Amino acid sequence: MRGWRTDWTVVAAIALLISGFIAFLMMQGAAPSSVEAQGGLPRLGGKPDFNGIWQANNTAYWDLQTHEARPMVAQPGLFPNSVVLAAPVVGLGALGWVPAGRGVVEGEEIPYLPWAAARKKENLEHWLDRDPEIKCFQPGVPRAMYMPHPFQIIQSATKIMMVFEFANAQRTIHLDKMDPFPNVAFMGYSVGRWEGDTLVVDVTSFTDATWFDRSGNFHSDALHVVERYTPMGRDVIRYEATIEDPQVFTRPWKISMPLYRRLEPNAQLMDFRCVEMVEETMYGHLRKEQLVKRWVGKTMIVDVTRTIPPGEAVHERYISGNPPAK
Amino acid sequence: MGSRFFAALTRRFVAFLTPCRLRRQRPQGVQKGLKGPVRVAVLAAPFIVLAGVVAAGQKPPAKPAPAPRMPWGQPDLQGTWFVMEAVPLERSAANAGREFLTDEEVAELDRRKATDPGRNSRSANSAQDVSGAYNAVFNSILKTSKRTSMIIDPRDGRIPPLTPEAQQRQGRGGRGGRGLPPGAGVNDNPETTAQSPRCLGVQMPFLPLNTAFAQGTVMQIVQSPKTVGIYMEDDHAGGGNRVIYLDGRPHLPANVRPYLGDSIGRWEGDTLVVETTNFASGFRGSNPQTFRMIERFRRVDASNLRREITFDDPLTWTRPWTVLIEMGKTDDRRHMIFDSACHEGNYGLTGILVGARREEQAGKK
Amino acid sequence: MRAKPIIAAAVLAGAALLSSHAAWAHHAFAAEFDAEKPVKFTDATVTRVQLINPHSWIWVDVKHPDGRVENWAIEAGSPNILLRRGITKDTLKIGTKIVVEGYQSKDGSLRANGRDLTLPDGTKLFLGSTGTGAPYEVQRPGVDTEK
Repeated sequence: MRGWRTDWTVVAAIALLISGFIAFLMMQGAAPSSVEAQGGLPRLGGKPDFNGIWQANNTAYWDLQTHEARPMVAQPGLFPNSVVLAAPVVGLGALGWVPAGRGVVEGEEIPYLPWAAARKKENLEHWLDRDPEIKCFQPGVPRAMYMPHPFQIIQSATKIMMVFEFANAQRTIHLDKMDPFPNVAFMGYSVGRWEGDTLVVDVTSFTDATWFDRSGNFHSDALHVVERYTPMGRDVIRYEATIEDPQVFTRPWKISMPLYRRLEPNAQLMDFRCVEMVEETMYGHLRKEQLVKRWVGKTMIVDVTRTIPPGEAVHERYISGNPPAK
Repeated sequence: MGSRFFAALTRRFVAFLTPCRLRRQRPQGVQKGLKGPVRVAVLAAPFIVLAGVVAAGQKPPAKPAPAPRMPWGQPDLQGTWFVMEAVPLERSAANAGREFLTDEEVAELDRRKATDPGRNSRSANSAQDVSGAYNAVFNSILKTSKRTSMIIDPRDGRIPPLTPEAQQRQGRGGRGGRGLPPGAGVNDNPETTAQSPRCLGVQMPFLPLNTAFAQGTVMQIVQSPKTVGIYMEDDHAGGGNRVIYLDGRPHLPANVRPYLGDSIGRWEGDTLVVETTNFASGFRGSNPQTFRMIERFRRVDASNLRREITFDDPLTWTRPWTVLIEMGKTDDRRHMIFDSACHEGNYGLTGILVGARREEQAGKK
Repeated sequence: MRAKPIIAAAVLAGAALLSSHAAWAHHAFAAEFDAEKPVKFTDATVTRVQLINPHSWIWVDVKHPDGRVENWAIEAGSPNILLRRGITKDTLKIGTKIVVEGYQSKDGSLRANGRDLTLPDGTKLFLGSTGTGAPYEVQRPGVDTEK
């Protein structure tokens, strides 16, 4: 019996089948992501596909360090070492308290230089006047990554654009070669590369005007951030950011946290265009006639006085994170 | 040789499908190693897969400076795109019936632009001089386009007539801008100050209507298989970031009206078609409930992008109308688009308000 | 020549374009700065530059004839167009002497709009910044190129 293995037409057919199958597999690698390859990770051009809507789920946006619940704005309570909600928030009750949370700082400590540690304390005490988030300023990096708002990642082979629901902010990570960046930017300037399945992003060219959280943690314009995005599965990214700023800190330090994919089928960025929302807060004291004056509740009446800071102080829009001039 | 090979293969394939015939050819009853349906599958598979590979690998025929494609097959719209030439929105009466200027006319207009001192010229009238800030170097003067209008449909290059209802609605004049509260002055409140930027963000449709300040002329596109991000730079409005969903989702519910509307897109061949609805306010006084915008993006070649926008509101215009915005790109390595960060740096708004308050205190008003 | 009327018509039509870029009305600075308080600083030394939107700011130490030195904030134009032409945040160096003509802010603070910013020799600041060039722009002598 002539074996089928020696029948050339069958051999040819099987060879075609095998080569066709290989070609089929190659096409799958180039196709838009759905599933497949190692570990069921979605891939785009062989790299982890981070396209989609993501959000952190922790209290880092309030305070990077481990903290107990505390008033958003505090004043001394009845007994020594007790605090109560202060006037700007006393009507909010439980909503006026910062939720407790474990920190995201490795080693728990933020290694401030002495002048900067004092500045951080001031920032926390004067949070309402100073926090750039309250003014709807673009949050900078890494703060934008753990705001209590989702963000969209739009990833191609050469660029990764992240659009943030908060303030419609945006940053673009350049994976291709670019000339040096000529200015500074609130969201910095990001250059990325892949190390295996980890996206490594180098961020520089910051302003001195953003913070890291709502607790007054800050930086100067010498800030340098290195981020690492490592997939921990289809729907979780391990996010790490190493923060370096020799004008403010004694050494680099690091934060890390998971970023979770928003899995709702109708997940979408909504508008949080807060520039108009903050006009009364930021400029209400400059109206010809005060607009927000009085509020009457069941057990409380709130009367508001606005005042125009004298001289040049009225023009101050933010407190610089740079060291004080000598 | 090749055709004989395939002829033999086909013969064999057919033979396997018809066992009777096979038995007739091989009286000894010798069967090939693979049986029945498996046989069919084994021999059919390479043809099917081969056909698929050939079809999927089909690329458009090479052209000079072809439009690139993403690795996953869609046209590549990415890059920083510029409106390279100044085109008026509507065709002027002087240019009626002419879609294009002549080269001589373009050269003359450019010559005038080059020699116009613009903001470098000072005014002896100090009120005018103050308003004339700053030096001309801060402006961008685009070369003149041969096109006489952005509007390509209707053919006369003019916005179609308003419906009677719209004429009534807009009868008050202006384009639905908020009036001042009764008795109020322009600089009494941030919402009404004379300074144009409240930095609320650039509005759709991101039209290049003030090319001297580069507003609406610089745009960045980043693209993934199911989403497209568009950033429009606008230093005096605060920029705008759009996310366009290509996953076939429905539009947002009618009670959600984002500032930039809701953009859903799909590919029609090599054209990205984007429909935007759910506007908070209507373009040029149109009705936000019925106004919708349809864009068509097409990468013409490596350096050119075509963006057509159709404006449609049966309650405002007697027919839809379409503009064409032609965009080009420069060197991809250079940084040519920057953040707007208008609100963060908006010292001017404070300055205007506090200046007005000080003058009132000094009894000047 | 028969072409002339058509050119003239096109030029008239183009005048609408020109007027939009020369529009005094765009920046209503009469609202922030005081037309009745002109300033001219011939001895102003740059201490800080912020290339930001909507307007850049240049801080200068102004030496007055009586010897006083005051630090003034001078408002300039949006930087994005300059950045496209090759200007960077470091182009205007700290310590550079410039001449500022403008109008002081209405609230009397040490702020002025830089109506005309030049070097001491009269050259406009950021002149000829089209080193690399934005190829789609009309090249204006004395603005985009050296005269």
